Amino acid sequence: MQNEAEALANAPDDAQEWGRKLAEDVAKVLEKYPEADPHDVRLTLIALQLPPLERLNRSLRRGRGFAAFRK
Amino acid sequence: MAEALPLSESELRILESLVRHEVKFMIVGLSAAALQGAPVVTQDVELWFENLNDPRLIPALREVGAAYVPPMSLNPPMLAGPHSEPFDIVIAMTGLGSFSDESKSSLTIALGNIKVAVLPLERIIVNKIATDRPKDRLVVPVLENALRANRATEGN
Repeated sequence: MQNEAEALANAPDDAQEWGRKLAEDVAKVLEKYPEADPHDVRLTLIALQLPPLERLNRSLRRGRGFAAFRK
Repeated sequence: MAEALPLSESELRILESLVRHEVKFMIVGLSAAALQGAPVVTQDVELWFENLNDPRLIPALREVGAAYVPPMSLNPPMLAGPHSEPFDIVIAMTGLGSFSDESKSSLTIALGNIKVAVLPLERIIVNKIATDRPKDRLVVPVLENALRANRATEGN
């Protein structure tokens, strides 16, 4: 199985750049807030790249998906 | 076929009408947190109105085919009518100040062409800690991490 670095090295250039930038940004947040959870930080930074309406619609879509699954 | 968005143009028209009629409200709760990038899921868009007796509220809703249903028996106040389904009315925000106090620090966020007031993450966390239901306790750490990510990237 590929590790993260190998997977990134085999990805298209745009995806590599996106992944590297995201990893750097997560590291910057953790440098300032070492107690932060890297997963939550990563997901927040990804969401912040989207327009607010898309952030909300993703949250609603997933929330309704969970609700339907629980029924 | 494209999947219908939970908050489509029709639903946004309700918010647009409220804004145009100058009804004072803000988006609160987890939908407000999601707007600020928090990785949370929610089923509703919670609206906190300054005054549910505001005479501008009913015309604003009527114009887009919706209506305000006051609280009755066990039913909380709600919006009714086509496209009102995603919206929930919040009547109190535990742990927070009055609407007017909280609106001073509210954010203005663009949803398409509409600009709406949104409760900041810091205040959502205060409300969740004060409300203190099991589901609130679970989400507080996620909101705190989202707040850290927002603060660390401010100005980038």
